[in-house]
Amino acid sequence: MPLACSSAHFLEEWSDGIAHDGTASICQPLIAPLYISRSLHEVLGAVTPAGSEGSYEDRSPMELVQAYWRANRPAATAKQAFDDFWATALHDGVVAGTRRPTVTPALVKGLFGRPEMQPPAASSDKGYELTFAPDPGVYDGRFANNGWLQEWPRPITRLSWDNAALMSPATAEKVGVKPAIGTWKGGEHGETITSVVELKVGTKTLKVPAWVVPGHADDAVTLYLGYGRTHAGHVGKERGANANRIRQARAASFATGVTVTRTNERVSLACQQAHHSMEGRDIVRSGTVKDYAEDKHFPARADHPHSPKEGEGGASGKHSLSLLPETFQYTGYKWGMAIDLGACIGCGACVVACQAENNIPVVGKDQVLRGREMHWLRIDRYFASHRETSSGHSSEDKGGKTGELTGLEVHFQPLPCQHCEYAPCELVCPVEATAHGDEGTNDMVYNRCVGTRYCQNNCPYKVRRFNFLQYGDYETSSLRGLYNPDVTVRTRGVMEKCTFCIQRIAYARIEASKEALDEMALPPKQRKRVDPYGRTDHGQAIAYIRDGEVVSACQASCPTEAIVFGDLNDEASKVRKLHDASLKYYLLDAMLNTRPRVAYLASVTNPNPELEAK
Amino acid sequence: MAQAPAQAPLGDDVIIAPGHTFGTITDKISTIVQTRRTPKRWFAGFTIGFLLVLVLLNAIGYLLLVGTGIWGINQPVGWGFAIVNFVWWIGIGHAGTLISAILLLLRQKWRTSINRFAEAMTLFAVACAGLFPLLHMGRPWFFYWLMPYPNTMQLWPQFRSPLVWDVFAVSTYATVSLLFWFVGLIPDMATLRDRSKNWFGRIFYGVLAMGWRGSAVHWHRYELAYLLLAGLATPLVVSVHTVVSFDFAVSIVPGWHTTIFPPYFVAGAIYSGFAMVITLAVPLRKMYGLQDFITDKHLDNMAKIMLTTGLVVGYGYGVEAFMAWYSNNPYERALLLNRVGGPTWYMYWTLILCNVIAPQFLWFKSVRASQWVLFALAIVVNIGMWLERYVIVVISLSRDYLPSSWGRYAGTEWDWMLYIGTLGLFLTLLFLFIRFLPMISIFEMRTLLPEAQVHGEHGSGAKEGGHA
Repeated sequence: MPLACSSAHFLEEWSDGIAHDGTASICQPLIAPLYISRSLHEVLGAVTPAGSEGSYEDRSPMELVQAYWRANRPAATAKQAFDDFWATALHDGVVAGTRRPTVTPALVKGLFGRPEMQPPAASSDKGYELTFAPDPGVYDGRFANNGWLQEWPRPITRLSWDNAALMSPATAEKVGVKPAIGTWKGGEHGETITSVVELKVGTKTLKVPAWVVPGHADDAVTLYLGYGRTHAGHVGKERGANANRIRQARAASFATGVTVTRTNERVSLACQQAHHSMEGRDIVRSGTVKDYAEDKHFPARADHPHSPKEGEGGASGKHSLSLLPETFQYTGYKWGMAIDLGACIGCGACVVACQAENNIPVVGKDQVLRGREMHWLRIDRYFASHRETSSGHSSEDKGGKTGELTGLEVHFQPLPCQHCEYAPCELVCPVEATAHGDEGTNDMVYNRCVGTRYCQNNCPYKVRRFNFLQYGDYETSSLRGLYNPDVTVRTRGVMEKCTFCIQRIAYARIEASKEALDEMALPPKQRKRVDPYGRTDHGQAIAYIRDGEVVSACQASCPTEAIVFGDLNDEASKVRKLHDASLKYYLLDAMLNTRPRVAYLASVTNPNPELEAK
Repeated sequence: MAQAPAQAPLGDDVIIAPGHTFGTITDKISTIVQTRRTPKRWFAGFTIGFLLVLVLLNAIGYLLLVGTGIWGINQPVGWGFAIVNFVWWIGIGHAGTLISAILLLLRQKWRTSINRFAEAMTLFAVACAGLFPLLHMGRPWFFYWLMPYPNTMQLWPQFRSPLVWDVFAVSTYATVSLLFWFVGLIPDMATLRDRSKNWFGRIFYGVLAMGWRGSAVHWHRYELAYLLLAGLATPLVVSVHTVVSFDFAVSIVPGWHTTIFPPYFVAGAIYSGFAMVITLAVPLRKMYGLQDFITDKHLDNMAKIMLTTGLVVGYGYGVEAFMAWYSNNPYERALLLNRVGGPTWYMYWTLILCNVIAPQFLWFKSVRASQWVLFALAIVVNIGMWLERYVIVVISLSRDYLPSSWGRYAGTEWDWMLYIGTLGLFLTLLFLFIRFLPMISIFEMRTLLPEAQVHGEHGSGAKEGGHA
């Protein structure tokens, strides 16, 4: 008879753990359990024979953890009363003196010569090679019930909610797979219809949709783990195909001699960007070291036939492209962002960080198929096959068919709201629901929005997201703890978009003001919150927010520090320096004079000529 | 009651069949409303219309309950069927006022027999059109925020937005069209009041007649008011669709951002408006035997206007294509290529077939003289004009600046239900109108008779020019 027992969340239970150096820590619950549930210690205790260590014996979860530490606390604390030891460990966060001694391992000689360490001989079997890899989102399936990770488009494929058999265009052709863009839903921005293939490893078979990835090795198939779970919870259950069914113990990460057969079944996959090419537009700009040496302003050359002067165009522009006089001077803070495309690896952590920070709803596969995902920040992915080194400004897709791509490159471009100074969205809103803040952010007033979607149409960057249905969950009580209390949960029928994490700006401002008040007692020279530029707000001196004190959620999560946020009016700020950098360019600005507050820094590569010659 | 004269072949430029007197005209038109049995075909038509109204109510109810997500709109296509239908209906709503006001000022006597129902058609089309911008909003219950009214939030609409201009343009147009129509109805209401045999008719038409007694003073004031309203309505004919076109032209979406839109939209509106008048006139005159009043000459004239505006619209398409090349704007060029060869290329080419190729048949007199061929062509043009708006709204939005956001769009069953539902609303209102109100202006038809000439100033013979 199957038994089910609801387990407590790790934030609800008493436990303990060890850090990488062996230091032990005791974990206290952060909240009382929301539901009737049992902690891991209780469950293990219940199946442990009575009388032995850790058996349940009606003890509370805390007593179970204490029981271990009563018996196993470090010898140095033996003289302390147990309650004192316990209180000290909880207070300090670590159990003192539990760090393990450093071990110096001896080298094993001839390890790589051993037969079991040899790579498998090239398969003599006819057939495909199959690689099993953890899914970039749900990993081995442990995160399968996490809606954020399910809806998050995978970096290269831009797929969400499913796994697929990834293969190169040539292999797909051989297998007879022809994906097509769906006609009745979101098309390129949502629905791709592809064939299901049957993978046969030995006697085991698995049916899984095929997905064509330019740049994938030929005659090989990659299959992500973590899908096909039957009991993963209501978000993750029965999604995708279970790769474990064709994995073999002797080679867990790959299989050879695999047969791939196309079936007649066609399925819809939620792909958020099925259009691969930049269409020759100067969207992601990149160049080589040589390009940079010839003209360090090479990224901006795509904007103008002449080489632009320092600081022309864009938010930091000294020369406006417009004949009209500046309508507003930003005398206080002037928030801006810079994104270094050379540093961006397209991992997509920022997308999920943004979603968590800003209470962005998960809409589900059906809505993604309709092209309605809500991510405020997305990472555009383009494939390019040819680098135009002579003009140096961009990469272009020269091949009409994906199968003909050579010298394939992948470009990533994180795209948040550009907070244009001349924002096309603001002009067309009939009720002034989107308006410019006096610090230059393009703000969205949810309460005022009536949902005409005109702003979305007029946004050339297409970063605005509309609540077509009631996506925000007001009802599920357990989700209340999920939301960021500083950010509104939106209702249906309103538009939303990136705010530059305005709640974090507000937080930093309040903290700075509090410190400024505290400093009033100090002599003026010791005050650190005095604005170095003497700026005022409505006649009052502003409390200085130092560079780096406002960190947007995407910036905080970026592993390569590709995203920088700060005050463009602060001459010493990092973001200001990047806006003044020679590699910066503003997306579509030369065409539309939107004057974005987000600067992109073109990536500069130093390709190995020997590899290039290949 | 005088007998209507027997059917006789009519000459080419006859706008009222010979042999009619004041009495026969009044009889022929008023009996449709008052004494003749309601034809079975009326009941059939009304039932169809009413069933479709139920579909409409269903579509609206579910929309308000669940949200605009039931439609096919998405990112990047934020506007779909709703705006396509809005522009289509508004366009259809152009012919009425054009016929009434501009042709009145130009002293085109042939307008007389078709102006009443063309105006009614205008009103009903505007009513259908007005539904869409309301319903397409995410939160339609706040529609009044688009109007300037004193409020505790101390907020006004954002006057730079073309949608606010739209609110003014469409509501002004609806108001003036209604007034114009109603003022024109007053003398006929009095006629019907006086001829009513029952209590209901006397009260109903009596209230609408607003105390009309036909005195010289009444006529004097009537003529003045009508002329003033015509003067007021004339610029509106041009302004409404101009402002509607600003919704697109003011934006920066490739395919929308073009200066040719205002004249091109107005021409397209008149084009589709006349197509709709022909679509209605041909079956109506057959159904009620009104060939005496809505003569082949009328159809011929309307066909010529259709041909002219069709050529203007065709020129518009040509200029769009030319500018895509001439401007050297890569986004504009990509848009054109997407229209003619993109995933929904068949939409564009069907539109060219319907709006540019099909009307070329109107060059032939034999085509213009054949009412059912004309009827078929008018329907083709109506379809073509709907496709034109679809191509402008949807295809432009589906692929704009960043290819990463390119997408597609298709209407869902709810989109279609709402659209077909408004066709039902239009039909229902139209059938109610022809049953309860005189579909042809009785007193103005009388002025076309030679007898009317005795009044000297007020009217002239059918074959002579004269002012109203």
